[in-house]
Amino acid sequence: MAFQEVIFWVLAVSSVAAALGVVLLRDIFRAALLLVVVFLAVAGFFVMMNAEFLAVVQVLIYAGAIAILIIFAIMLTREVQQGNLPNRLQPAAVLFPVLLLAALVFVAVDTDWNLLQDQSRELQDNVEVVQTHTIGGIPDEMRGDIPGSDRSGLGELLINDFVLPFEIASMLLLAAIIGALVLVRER
Amino acid sequence: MPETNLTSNLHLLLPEFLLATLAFAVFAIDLLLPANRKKLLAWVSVAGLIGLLALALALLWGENEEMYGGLIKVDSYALFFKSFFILLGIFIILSSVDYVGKHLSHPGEYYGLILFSVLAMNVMAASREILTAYVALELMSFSFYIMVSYARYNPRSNEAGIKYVLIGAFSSAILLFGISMLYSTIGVTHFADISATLANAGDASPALWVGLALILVGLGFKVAAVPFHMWAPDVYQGAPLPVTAYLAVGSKAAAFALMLRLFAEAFMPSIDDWQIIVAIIAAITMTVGNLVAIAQHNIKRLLAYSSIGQVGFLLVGIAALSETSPLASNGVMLHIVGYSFTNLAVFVGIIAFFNMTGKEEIADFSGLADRHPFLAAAMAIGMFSLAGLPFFAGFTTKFYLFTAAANEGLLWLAGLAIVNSLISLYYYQVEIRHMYIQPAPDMEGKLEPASAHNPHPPPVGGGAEDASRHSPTPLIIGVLILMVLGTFFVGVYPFPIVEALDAATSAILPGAGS
Amino acid sequence: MELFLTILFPFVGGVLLAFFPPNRGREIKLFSAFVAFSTLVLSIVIFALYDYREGGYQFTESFTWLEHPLNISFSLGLDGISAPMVLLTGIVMFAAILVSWNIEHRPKDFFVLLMMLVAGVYGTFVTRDLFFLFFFYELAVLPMYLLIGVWGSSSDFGTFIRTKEYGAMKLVLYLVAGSVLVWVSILAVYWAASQAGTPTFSLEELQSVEFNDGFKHFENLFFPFFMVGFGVLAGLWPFHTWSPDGHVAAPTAVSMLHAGVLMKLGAYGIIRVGMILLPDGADTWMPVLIGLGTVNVLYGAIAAMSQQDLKYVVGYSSVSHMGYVFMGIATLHPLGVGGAVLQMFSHGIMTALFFALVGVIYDRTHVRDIRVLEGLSKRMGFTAAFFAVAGLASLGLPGLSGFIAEFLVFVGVFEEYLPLAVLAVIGAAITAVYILRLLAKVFFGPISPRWEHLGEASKIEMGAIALLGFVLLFVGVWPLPFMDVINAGVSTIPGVS
Repeated sequence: MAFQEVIFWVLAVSSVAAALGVVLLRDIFRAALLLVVVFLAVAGFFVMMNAEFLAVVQVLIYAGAIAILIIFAIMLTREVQQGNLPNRLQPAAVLFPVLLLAALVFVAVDTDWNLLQDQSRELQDNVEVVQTHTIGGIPDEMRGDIPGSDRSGLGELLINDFVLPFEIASMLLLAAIIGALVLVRER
Repeated sequence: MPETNLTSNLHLLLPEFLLATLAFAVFAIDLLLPANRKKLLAWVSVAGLIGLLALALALLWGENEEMYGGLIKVDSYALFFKSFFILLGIFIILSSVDYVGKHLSHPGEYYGLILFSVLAMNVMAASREILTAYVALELMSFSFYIMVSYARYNPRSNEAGIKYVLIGAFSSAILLFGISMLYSTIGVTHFADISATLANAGDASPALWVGLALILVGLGFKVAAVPFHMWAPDVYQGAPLPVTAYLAVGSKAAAFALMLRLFAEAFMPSIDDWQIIVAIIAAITMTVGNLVAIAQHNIKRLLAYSSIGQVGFLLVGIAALSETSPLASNGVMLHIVGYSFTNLAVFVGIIAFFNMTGKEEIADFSGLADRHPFLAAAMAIGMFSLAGLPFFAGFTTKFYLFTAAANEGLLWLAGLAIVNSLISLYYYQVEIRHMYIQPAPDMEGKLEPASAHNPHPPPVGGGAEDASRHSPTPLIIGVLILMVLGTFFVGVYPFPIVEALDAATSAILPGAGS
Repeated sequence: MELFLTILFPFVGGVLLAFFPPNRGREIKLFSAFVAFSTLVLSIVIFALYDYREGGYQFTESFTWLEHPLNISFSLGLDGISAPMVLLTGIVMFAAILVSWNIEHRPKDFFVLLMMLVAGVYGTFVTRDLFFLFFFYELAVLPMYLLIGVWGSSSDFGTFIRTKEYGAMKLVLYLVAGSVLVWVSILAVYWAASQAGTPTFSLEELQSVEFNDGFKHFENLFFPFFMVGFGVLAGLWPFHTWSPDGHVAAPTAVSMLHAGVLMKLGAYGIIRVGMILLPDGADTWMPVLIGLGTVNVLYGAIAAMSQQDLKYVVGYSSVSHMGYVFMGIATLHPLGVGGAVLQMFSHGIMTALFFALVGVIYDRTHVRDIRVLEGLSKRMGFTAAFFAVAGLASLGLPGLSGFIAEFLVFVGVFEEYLPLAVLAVIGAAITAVYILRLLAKVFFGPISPRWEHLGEASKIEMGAIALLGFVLLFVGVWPLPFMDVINAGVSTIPGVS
């Protein structure tokens, strides 16, 4: 077993275990801490897939900012031990995710991802419009790389082709900040 | 080259830039105004929107330009919805003025958020790339999350806000998951490319279909299609009334503007695969919405379920889309226009009633026709129109929409939709019975008849604000008159609107020229 | 332009009425009567100007409403079938407004809604476009709920209570359920026409479409939709139950308009849409319709015989008389169909007269129970005389309009379905029994002391009653102008020979 595989299994097991802990633990504070573990493990996956940039973003934003936000919120809230109350929809709530999971696993297994990648490449070559529009403003020599490993490519995309969604996203954040202020500020 | 795209034609986005500027201006002016002058903000917003509408029509008439490498397109479809959303924003602000003054704090942010959401809706209708559309959808949703929970000290509003945020985030996650599957299998996100790929896909992978299904589910949550509708009644009931009206009309119209373009421009080649699915969702949605509406006692919940029923009707139009006929696409847009006038007539009536009485149970409307004949008549007209009776918008738009469905061979779906109209007539008549036939309950002196018969209101409180407790303000009556006139106009003379719709449809379905 | 005016007069009248101050009851009534009178004059002029020698659609005009691919146009035209209906509407409307003079509760809203109803009725009769036919058809049903619910009356029959809300809701839901069927089949017709390459809602263009070409049993499949859908409004058994309940709950004027004119819309729809567009389907289904029509006649007559409430008697007698209309239509024989159209006219006037008289009696006695009402002719001679006229017209006495119409229907049915004709005559005999019994008991028996101080009908009511009675006599004595016009219309219906 190669070193990488060992790391993968460590990350995989720890992330699933931590995720289970998030859901099952009745102490919401510990659950929040375990959530940080999940975030970190996912960041590990990104590193293994050569997406260092995404990994850094993951650590900074999710493991850093968001986790801290959640923990703050928990500390500011009282009566956190309640947990979910059982109700009559519980069987359905078990059934549907299981079915959905089964469907997704089937799809993940059944889809020949690599082949499809080639297919879509072929299609892209065939269809002219497609080629001009693929997310690759990425230079050709990086085409094989996974998007997200390349900071400059991503940055260029964000201020070139995708500047409009980027701007809308900034307005979205502004709206969220305003909302937070309005809803929290005393009269 | 992308660089040329960036700098050329930027003036075509002027309305959007100015709309954002207007929102910032409202936030800024809010800081300078003393607390008792906040109404000015509404007038600034309305004046700005009217100016923007004129500018957009003058600047963008007949334009057909792609921008940012095809992320968005400034065409007649986008212009149609831009005008629609700006007008909608104006009416919502006008009908909010009294309510906000009385029941909500922070008016500046309220009007600013409405402007933000109008901006988001404009981009939703214009975008031809799925991530851009998604980000715009999120901007709209965030504005709504905040507005829904705006009545901070009302637990119902808080509950509604929480529910809406959670369900909204959940549906966004599903939508994003679907988009990521779509991208991972075919590697494109532009509508035109998706269409081209689907046309050549042959037997595509299961992941692609699951991706499309998840996108459909995510959008289903956003428009509250059954079985993804559970949040709607609680959110409608809890949100402040003008926000409920905006939610029922604006968010639905915008989501359908996005869906219509997505299905027409991107998913059309594989219509044989999804048509039956959309048709079944439409059938379930309208049936459940209308049947459950019968059991409601609260007018907002009633309208929530009735609007779920209307979503079913609109989905009928999506299922009946066709590359060669403009009927279905026109029908969806026409129904959106007619439904908006109609629904706003009802909602503005309820807002006026709530401003006077603070009540919103169906039984509270008893005897309204004796006390406020115009209010009752306007709401009755709106409800008859929602039920699809002639002379009002509802009849004409439903006839158009169902004809489109029948013309695509979906006669069973059209028939079911017509039966649903009949069901809806029943519960609207119950409400109308309360307003017209039931005598007014004993109001313990709290509610006296309007000034004509009782020139001296009882001396409770007093002052200028108290006057509005007994009769609707001229402003809200004015909005109501406009909505009723609109309802008649669409119902009797839809020709000019259909002309505009033909142009809009030819932008998204070039083969469907009439 | 003339036909457009028939819609416009009541419509604009209603809109103007809406701006009257609500407490000026007298002015509102005068204005309504003025509008109704102008419309009546207009209707008479139109009927008189219709040239039966030329036949076909006259006074035609057309405005495009929505272009291709829907091809809906607001096109109007009058033919031999709709001409008597226009006249009928004018007469009944004017009489109904006159007998509503005693409305004191929210008079403005009442007359506005009444005007809208009449505008819808005129629109249905004079349009040549399937969309607008349905549009106005629904418009005529729309005000019903409020008219009955607000101004109607609840009745306590001892063992059971019929509230006005019940009557109103039942009526509207039945009628709208009927129009659901109509709507679905209109969409089907458009779809089939579109498949055949002529997407349109124009009745004339649709008439030339061979529907069975695109889809084999199309006409057989969709004719019953039209038959039942329109039949509900015309009181077709077993979908008639809304009619007696609705009429009992409704105020006098609404009963008059509803039984007198609206029920005719249903029969008119069967002829205008069902028979003309889908002649093959009509041919297949007519045996069923004539069977149902016969049940209508007998069931209505027997039910009327066993009623104690005057309005229920008249209501069930309407069901019975509409049976003759169905039977006449179903013969597909020129005499039978012509008789059916004349019966629509004659029954419209007659039942309006009945309801007006019942309203007059009820206003003075506050009772409609025929066990209590006795010998009214001593105090209400005028009312009693005209009740006798209406009753005799109803049982088909020669010299009154009912005779000609029913006679023609009988002849048609004798030609085509002999056994049913016998049953229909039996129905007429039962009608004679209950009408004569009613007349003898309520009007011409010994007077009960309770009614010693009863007053006669007011002058205005007398005017309305005399108008209706005069028309019954006129048609009975000189039916020729009517039959000429009707025959000009009937001869153009495909499949009638």
